[in-house]
Amino acid sequence: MRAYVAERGKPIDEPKPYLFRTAKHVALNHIKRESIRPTDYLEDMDSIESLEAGDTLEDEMIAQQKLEIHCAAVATLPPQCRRIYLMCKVYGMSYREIAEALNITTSTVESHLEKAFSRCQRYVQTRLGDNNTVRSTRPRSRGTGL
Amino acid sequence: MKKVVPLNSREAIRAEAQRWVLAFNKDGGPTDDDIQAMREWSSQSPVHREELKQATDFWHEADRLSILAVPISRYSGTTSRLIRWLSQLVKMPRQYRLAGATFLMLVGFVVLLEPWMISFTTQSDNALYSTLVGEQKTLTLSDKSVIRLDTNTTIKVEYSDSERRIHLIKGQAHFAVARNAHRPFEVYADYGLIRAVGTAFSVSLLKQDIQVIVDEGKVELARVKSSSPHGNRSVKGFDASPSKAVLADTFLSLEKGQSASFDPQQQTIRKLQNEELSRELSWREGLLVFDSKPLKDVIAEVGRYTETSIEIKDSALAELEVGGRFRVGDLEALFDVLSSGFGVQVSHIDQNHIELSPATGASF
Repeated sequence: MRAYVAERGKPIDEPKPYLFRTAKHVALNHIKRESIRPTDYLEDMDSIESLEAGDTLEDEMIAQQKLEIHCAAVATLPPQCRRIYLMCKVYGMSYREIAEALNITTSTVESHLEKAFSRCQRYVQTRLGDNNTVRSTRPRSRGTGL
Repeated sequence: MKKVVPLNSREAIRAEAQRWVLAFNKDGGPTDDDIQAMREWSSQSPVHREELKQATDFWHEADRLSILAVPISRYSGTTSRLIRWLSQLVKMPRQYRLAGATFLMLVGFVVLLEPWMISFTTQSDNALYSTLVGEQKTLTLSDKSVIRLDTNTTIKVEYSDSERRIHLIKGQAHFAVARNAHRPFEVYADYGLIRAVGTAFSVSLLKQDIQVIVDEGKVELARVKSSSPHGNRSVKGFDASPSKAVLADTFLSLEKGQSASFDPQQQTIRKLQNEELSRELSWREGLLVFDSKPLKDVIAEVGRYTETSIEIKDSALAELEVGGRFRVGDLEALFDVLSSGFGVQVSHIDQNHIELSPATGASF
């Protein structure tokens, strides 16, 4: 909801430029809530660009592969941990909302998220390698070159 | 933020960086103290800054997972192809099976955790939402229903604990409704009332009558018995507030693949083939798709997305049948195709005025 609320607050004086932007960036409207980036509060830090799918077939394939890797990372988590991580990332629920839904404390939620964070980041970084290219954990075979 | 005595290992710094990202994403966001403390922590060494960047980037990348919240058929195009592609992994040879099972496990979980199981209503849903000419918007409400607003459209959302009411005041919108039998979903559009029994449909007030197209599940159509003599198209004229009981005459049930147009007296229903259904709904992705439509209809449709007025100066040209796909608002592409492929001259009369006529020598 956050991204949407921010957009609503912006004054749109110039319909014309906005028109062209809409035409280009139609792809990832379903991302409900963008995470807050602590690095935004530091100087001299480049942030990665937002998660746009881009126009080319190659961009789409890369997006597909990255999503698959994140899904695979989640699968390595123990049940409660995975549940909490998905409630946070898939449904955009706040820590308190998750705590209330599962009848646990927010600090338990945070500690599960720490574990999920640690495992998933390690998994994804292993799969992606240093230069952010997709690396497979499976032996290569005929078919989609993953 | 737990106080931990920092060890000089990269692992420990990484764990702290990850806790910072989580702290910044907690309810209410970072406080000024948090920001200050984070800056002090980061300044300890370049490794601290690097780990914070990596953790931040990872958490941001993981936002992709939010795609899983939406059932496959609610979105066509990029997203559903992506998810369909993933689900095909189940059918792949042995060494890919793990990934397929992984995905199914995740999807299974996501489906089990139905949004309505977690009851939290947000008052912030209830508001007027509008798009300008040429603008399109997607709204996700607190019950996880997704509404796509087309150009020049206004809706009013009135959610309560027991009901979900939307008032389509003008324009065209598509509704992907989160299933909840305890909380009926209703769209009021002028004298019409559309009740969602199933999950996805569009409503438009673009023509004289009301048009409804169902792409998933089933809806019920009714006419509202209104006390206001001026009809319900103005914001002030109609009170869709949940407390007000509405008398309505249900006259039709509409299913997936069907389209209905109705006015106060009559209704017509059509069954749409798959291709036509997806053409009719392609506006949701900012695309206009035509298959053998007269140029005047194409221009009328394209014209809804721009303040520029476009006039066709030749009656035979107006009837020329064209087909194609255009990005909403991408007039230049449309005009390129018309001038290079169809022998049309595109004259820019002024900033907001364009005329189409046959190029010299061309005839239609």
